[in-house]
Amino acid sequence: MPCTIEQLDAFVDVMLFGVDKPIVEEMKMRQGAARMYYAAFHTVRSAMAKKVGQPGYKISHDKLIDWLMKANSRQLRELGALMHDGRSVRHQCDYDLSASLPAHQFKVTASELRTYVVKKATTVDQWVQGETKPLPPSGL
Amino acid sequence: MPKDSVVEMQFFTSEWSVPTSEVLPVVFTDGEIDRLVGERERPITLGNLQLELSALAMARRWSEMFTPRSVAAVSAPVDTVPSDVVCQLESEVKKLAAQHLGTSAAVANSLEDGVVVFSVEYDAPEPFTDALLESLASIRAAFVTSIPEAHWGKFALHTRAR
Repeated sequence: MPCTIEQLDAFVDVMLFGVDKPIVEEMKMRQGAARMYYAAFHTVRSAMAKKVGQPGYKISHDKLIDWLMKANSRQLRELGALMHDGRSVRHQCDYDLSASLPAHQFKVTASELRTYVVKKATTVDQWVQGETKPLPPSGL
Repeated sequence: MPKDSVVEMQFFTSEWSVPTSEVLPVVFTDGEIDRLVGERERPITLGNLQLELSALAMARRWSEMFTPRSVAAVSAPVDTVPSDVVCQLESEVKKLAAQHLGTSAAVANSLEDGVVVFSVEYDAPEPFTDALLESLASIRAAFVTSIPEAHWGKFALHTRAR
C-alpha cells in the first residue's frame, strides 16, 4: 500500500510523543521491515569491525553488501544475497511512498533478516572472522 | 524487430554530478540488433535483449558524457556479464522458483547499478509459514552456488510476494 506524509507524521506522534491517535498498519509494516534491515546491517558491520579490530569501523551499505556477495565463504555470499534483497525492500519502505507492496512482503522480509542474520549473530560473526577475502578499509 | 528500432531510455545521472534525469530516444541500427540477436547458439529472451540494449545505450550515452576513464569504470560491470551466463542463471532461477514456490512463480530480470537482479514473484500464503522462509532460503542457497566465481557480486535475487 502507498503511504502519506501525514501518516508518517502520525506515526512519529505516537512513537515519540505518546500521542493517542490511530496509525495505519502500513506505517508499522514499513518501519518494522526497514528497522529489521538496519538490525541486520549492524549485525554484519559489528562482525567486520571485530575482525579489523576497529570498533568505529565504517562501511557503506553498498560496500558491505558487495563484500558479502564476493566473499569466498558461500554462507557469506548467501547473506549478501539476502541483504541485497532486504535493502531493496528497505528502500521502498523509506523512499517510495507510492510503493504498493503487500503487507506480508514486509513480514516475510523482516522474518528472513531476523532468522538468518540477526538471530544468528554469533554464527555470522564466525563466518566473517573466518573469511579470507580482505575487508574494505574503513570509510563510507 | 524493425530496423533502426527506437527505444526510449531514462538516464539518471545524479550520482555523477550531472544534475539531470532525462528520457532520450536511442536509435539502434540494424547491425547492432543483428549482432545482439544473432551470433548465439540459443534464442535470446526479450528480457535479455532489453538488458543488452540497456547496456549498449548506457555505454553510448556515458561515452558522450564522461571521460574514457569514467566510462571504463562504469561500463565494466555490464560488459563483463555475458548474456549466456545471464540466460543460464535465469533458467536456474526459474527452475528453483517453480520447484520451491510453485509454477505460478514468475521471474524477470533487470539491471541495477551494474548488478543483474532476478526478481521472483510468487503467491505467498497469509499468514506465511516457516516452510516459506525455508523455501526462500533454499532458493537463495542454490542460486548463490550456481553463480560462476568470475561473476560473484554481479547477480542478485529478489523475492516478492504478490
